[in-house]
Amino acid sequence: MARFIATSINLPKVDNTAITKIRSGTKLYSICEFQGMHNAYFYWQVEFNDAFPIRVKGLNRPQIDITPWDGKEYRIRLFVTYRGENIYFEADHLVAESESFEAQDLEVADSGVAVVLGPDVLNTGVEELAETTTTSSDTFNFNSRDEEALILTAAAVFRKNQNQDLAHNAILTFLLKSVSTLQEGHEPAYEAMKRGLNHPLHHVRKSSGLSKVKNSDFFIRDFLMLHTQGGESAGDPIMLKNISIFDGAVDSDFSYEFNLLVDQINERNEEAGLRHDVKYFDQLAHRDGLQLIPKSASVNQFMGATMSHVTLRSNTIESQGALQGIFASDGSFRNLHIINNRISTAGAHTIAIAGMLSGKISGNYITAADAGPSPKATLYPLRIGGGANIKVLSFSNKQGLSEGDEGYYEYEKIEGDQVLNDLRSVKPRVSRGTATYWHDVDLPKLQSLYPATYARVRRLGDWPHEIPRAWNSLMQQVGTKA
Amino acid sequence: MMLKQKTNPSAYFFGLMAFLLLSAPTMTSAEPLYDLGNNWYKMSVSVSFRNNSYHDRVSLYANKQAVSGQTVRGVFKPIPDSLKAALFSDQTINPFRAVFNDVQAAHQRGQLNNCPFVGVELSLNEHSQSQGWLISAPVSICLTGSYQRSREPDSHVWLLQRNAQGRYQVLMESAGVVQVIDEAAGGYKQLQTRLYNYHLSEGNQQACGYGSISWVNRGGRYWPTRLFSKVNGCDRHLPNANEQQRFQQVEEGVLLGLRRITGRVFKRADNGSLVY
Repeated sequence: MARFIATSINLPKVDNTAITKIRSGTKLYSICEFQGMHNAYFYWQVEFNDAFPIRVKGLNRPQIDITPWDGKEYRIRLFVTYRGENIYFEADHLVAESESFEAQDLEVADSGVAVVLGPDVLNTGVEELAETTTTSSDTFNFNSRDEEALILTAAAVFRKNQNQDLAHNAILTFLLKSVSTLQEGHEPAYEAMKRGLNHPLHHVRKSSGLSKVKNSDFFIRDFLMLHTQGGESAGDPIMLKNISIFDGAVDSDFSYEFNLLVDQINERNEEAGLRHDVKYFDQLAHRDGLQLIPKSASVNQFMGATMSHVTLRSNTIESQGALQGIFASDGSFRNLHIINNRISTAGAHTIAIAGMLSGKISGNYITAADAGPSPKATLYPLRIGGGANIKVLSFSNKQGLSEGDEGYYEYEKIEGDQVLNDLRSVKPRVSRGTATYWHDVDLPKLQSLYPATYARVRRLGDWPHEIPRAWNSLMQQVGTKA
Repeated sequence: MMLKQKTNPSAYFFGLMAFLLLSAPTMTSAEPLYDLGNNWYKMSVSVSFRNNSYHDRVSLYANKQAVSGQTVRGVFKPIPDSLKAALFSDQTINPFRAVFNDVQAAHQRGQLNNCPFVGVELSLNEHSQSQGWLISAPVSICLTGSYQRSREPDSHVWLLQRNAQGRYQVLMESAGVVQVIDEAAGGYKQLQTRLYNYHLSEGNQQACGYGSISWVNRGGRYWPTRLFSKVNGCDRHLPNANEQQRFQQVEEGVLLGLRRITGRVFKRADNGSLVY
């Protein structure tokens, strides 16, 4: 059992804590939520082997993402400081890798701090799956005490923060742990999920990997994540064609069990005065048919890495749920061709590409599934910084560079007959969240300045509220705020 | 060679009687379904339909303090035709007809002929001579071949009662999850159901959300006592409205629905209580 030890609890106002800890090969990913986070500071400390502490002082969702990580021994601590009082939870690899998840996993301390200690799903998954038998349906064996703990905790957390993702992830984790037998053909979807709750059915990093992509009618998160810098040239693009993606998970045993748990969680909050319920599986967020993520040797998608020469042609994507058809949120795209695909979903985005510099979108037949929003193909500004939400409305280029040159950035006219909602250079009238919009951004300069800024941002880890200021300062050097 | 069979005249009489018995729901007796009994404090029920099959889940809470229920599954069975007939009979008292007139109309058009109706026995009152059933059917799926997800659940629900005199009454009609609480008021258990705006505003593409409604029985009929509105799905159907506007629209829709069911104008207090 992943047993955390609370060494000091005296925080009456931090009365709701949920910790889910997932370890996967090269990553350690952690989420925690506290009530009243604006009043509390906390950070994670991770130590590998002898000494390699990493401290992360975050906002409301600290995340430790270490790549590559070969450490097999580690200790993890979560520190919270609230008005001068301290609390920390501690676990090490010995207890965290244990497979069991027992009743003690829900511990309610005297102070009212409820700590949920999640099972290490990813360590237990693949071997379990190998032993399962295939049937005509997926079946689940629920431990009633675990189910009770899930319902109570997810309901309590949702009552506090109405965070759909947290509730959904808790349910997904529980279901993955409880699966007993699998329907033939469903194994890859479960195996993918057990590598990570956001893991796609196919994660393709090289063009050769596309040959392994087969038609599918069952996947739980994304169907395909194409994570590459693209093809060699316009004449030798990476091409995905004639793939049929049917979102059968929405009408599966998995979604049925998922929705029953949702019902029970919502019943707990029936009279809590909440205006939202935990949503059913068909409304699970962040599900994509085809997701494109650029990468390059020097920068990642969050710093504007470019994917070039990719063609998506004659594929079919069907979903009765909120699956997004073809989606890209970060990085930039040159010579991207989206041609003759048939997409029908009830998702908000049918085709949505942020940062498309050039290419063609044509002949795609897009329709809305029942109750879905109007289908649309939308182009958005290039986004920088991930959660920093920096949107690039236009670029500036060094003198002498022109269209077609490496390092030249411009939103070119997109070829093709598709009706497009082109918002690449449009700042919305009402800006949602923390997004900022920038004109005349010198992207190569930004990428060259970033390492120094990143080091500074890391030093600012002790003062997280300074991070947006650091980003702003960086952007001021390379562009003009809209 | 064909044999000509002579028909006994009395057979016409028995045939006519059989026809009358089958077509008059107050006179038929239902085959026994699974009886959920009375050994629980609270019960939560949901049935989900898909691909010509269905799943049911009943959670039974032993007492008021119980935080989780004992879950039983697979207890819903197809109901006899007599019960289905009773649901739609003009002889059956049903105050919800005004709101769910689309369901009644679908039945009259024969669109529910092949729709699976499943149920359990569930007595809501202490009167031993009455009999009750909780019945569920995928009305939306039967009507359209698919249901509009996130707008409404896939199951329509009736709580049907036959009294000692053999007369049927729909005590409750709703959709999705139903909760029954064994705290008697007027001799009947209390209920918690959902009223979806999509039902109340048929054809209105902006209809979204639902009201979670508590009901108590007075004089043999259920009356709403508390309402909590949810704006589920309104971000898609009312994209230009803010949260408060969505909430108000949902609540106004549900209150209007309650008015159509009860004939009373209700107002909701901040704590969820309904007054009229």
